[in-house]
Amino acid sequence: MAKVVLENVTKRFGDVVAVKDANIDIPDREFVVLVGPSGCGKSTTLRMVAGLEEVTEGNIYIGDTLVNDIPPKDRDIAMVFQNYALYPHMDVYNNMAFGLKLRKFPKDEIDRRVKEAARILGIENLLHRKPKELSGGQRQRVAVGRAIVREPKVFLMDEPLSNLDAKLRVQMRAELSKLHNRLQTTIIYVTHDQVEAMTMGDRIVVMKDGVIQQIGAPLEIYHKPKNIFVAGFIGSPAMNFVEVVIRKDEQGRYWVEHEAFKLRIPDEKVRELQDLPKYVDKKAVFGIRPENIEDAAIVPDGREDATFVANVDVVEPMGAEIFAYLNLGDQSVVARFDPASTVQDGQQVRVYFQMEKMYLFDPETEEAVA
Amino acid sequence: MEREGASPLVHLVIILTCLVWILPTLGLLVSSVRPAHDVAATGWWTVLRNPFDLTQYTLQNYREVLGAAGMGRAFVNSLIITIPATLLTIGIAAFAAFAFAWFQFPGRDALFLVVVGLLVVPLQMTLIPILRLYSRLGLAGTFVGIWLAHVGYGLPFAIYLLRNFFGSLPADLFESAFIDGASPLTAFFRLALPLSVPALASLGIFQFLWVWNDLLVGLIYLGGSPSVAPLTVRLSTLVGSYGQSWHLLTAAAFVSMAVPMAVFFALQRYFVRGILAGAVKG
Repeated sequence: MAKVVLENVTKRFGDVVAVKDANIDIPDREFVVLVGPSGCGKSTTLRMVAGLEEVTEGNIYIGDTLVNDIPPKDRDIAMVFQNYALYPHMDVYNNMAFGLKLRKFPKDEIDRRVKEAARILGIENLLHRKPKELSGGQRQRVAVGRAIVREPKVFLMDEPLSNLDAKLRVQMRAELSKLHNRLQTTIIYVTHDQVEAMTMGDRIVVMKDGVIQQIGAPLEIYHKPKNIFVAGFIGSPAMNFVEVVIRKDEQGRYWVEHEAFKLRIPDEKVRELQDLPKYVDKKAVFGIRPENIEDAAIVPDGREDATFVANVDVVEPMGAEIFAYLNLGDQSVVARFDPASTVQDGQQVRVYFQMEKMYLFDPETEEAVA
Repeated sequence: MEREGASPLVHLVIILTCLVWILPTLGLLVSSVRPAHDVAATGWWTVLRNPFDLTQYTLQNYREVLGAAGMGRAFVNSLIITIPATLLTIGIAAFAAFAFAWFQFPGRDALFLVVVGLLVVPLQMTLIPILRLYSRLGLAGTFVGIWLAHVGYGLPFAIYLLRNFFGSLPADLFESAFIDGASPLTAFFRLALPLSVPALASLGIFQFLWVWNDLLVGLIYLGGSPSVAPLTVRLSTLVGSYGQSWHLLTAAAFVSMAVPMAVFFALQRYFVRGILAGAVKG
């Protein structure tokens, strides 16, 4: 068990900057998730912590030790690979025991640890099978088991669930979370799936193009995204963005204006957005999550100055919810309605925006308006 | 995944190809069991007139070949030459190929290019310079000399073949092993070698056949001295310089074929497909 600290870490492959000036401070026992689209540098960051890639600039500490020049085997870490990387010619037992044997653990200790890990993961009956005789989910468990038996300071996981089918992925997600509660070890987990990040992480590190965009607890990132990228990446379906102009009337009330609507910004939101006056009569990017758009027929107490009529292009009934694609002239906005909504394709619908949950971004810097 | 149904035409072509391919060997086999005067007088296909007339067959040729002076010694010499030349080649090539495939060191790619480049150098070009070197070092006519020669001629191809095989092993496996605490040597012996048995076996067969069947290299570096001459060199002396008594050569060819056949059938069971299955997904 140990904390992990990345200090101004940069990784270059030739002229390509894969990771740029990353600073991450991971306390002991935290489950931190690195998330971002492919090629954002998240795997490279993990591999630098593992020692599989050299750090170009900056320092990485595991515990209080500077590990930049320490080889992987001496870092006291264990890694679970996306492809499992099981040793094909060894059975499950030997796959899990391999690392302990190399470290010259006594035989009975190896046996105890392997059986304990197998019990935790429910693979006791598979110990004498070869990897090729296992299903994807079972191989995944063996790969996790191989990491557990080592009882390392830090677990590193590189997209461990991305090769599993959807149902199994949800199940393993919960199991890994349970495992973390049980083992109480620092885990660094890489994924491109924002749902995995939201559900598993104590904290999330959102990356893009090698640069860390935001670090925070899942709900903090969901509620207070720092920029358009983070706002659009976290949450499903993604947040809607509409280019608007900010207006201020004689009574001192603020509005967002678009060809399809003019909606009032509530006073508490105005107080929150201290830079708002700078954007009066200027362009801004207005953000609203699909779950914050309501069918006015179902939420009749919606405020009149946040309600307007929109054309519905397509309706996707999902059972527990309804996705409606609203046509706002030059662009389309997704709304997530209550299943009681009776809206149909091609109809008009009165929609209510929960404006206290709106977001505003600068169109140039794409940063959230403070 | 349905395979295209092979048409009768395809079958016909394949069967004809096989027949054409097998014809010379068949001729050799038939000739080897015919009496010397028959061989000299008529072609082997003459037996097809009465294939079941057993009086036209004889094992006399085999008796003569096996009974010829020095054959036993030559057979042992062939083994003494071939086995170390095969094992040394595979051993050295495996180490080199592993380094070329998985280590980072300056000049790696250039060095590998040189090794691959050596594949196109005809070995005949090297005979005279190396023989001169051998005479100066006292290696001419010794087993050590011919081992070195065969290993040297075999290595470029062996390294090339094994490097490509090692290179195709999933990188994750080695990274996983390194994190598990493996040294490069452990990774080589516990991962790379066990996973490469099919490649090592095919390389073993190739190298064994080359060395076993070699006449030129043996003749040049060992000379005709019966104490060191391999089977091939001994057999070639059975035939007179004017090509007389070549009926013996047919039997000799089959005698010398026996060992390579045994090696092939012994090792071919290691051509196990899918030995990597289950290592990584996909």
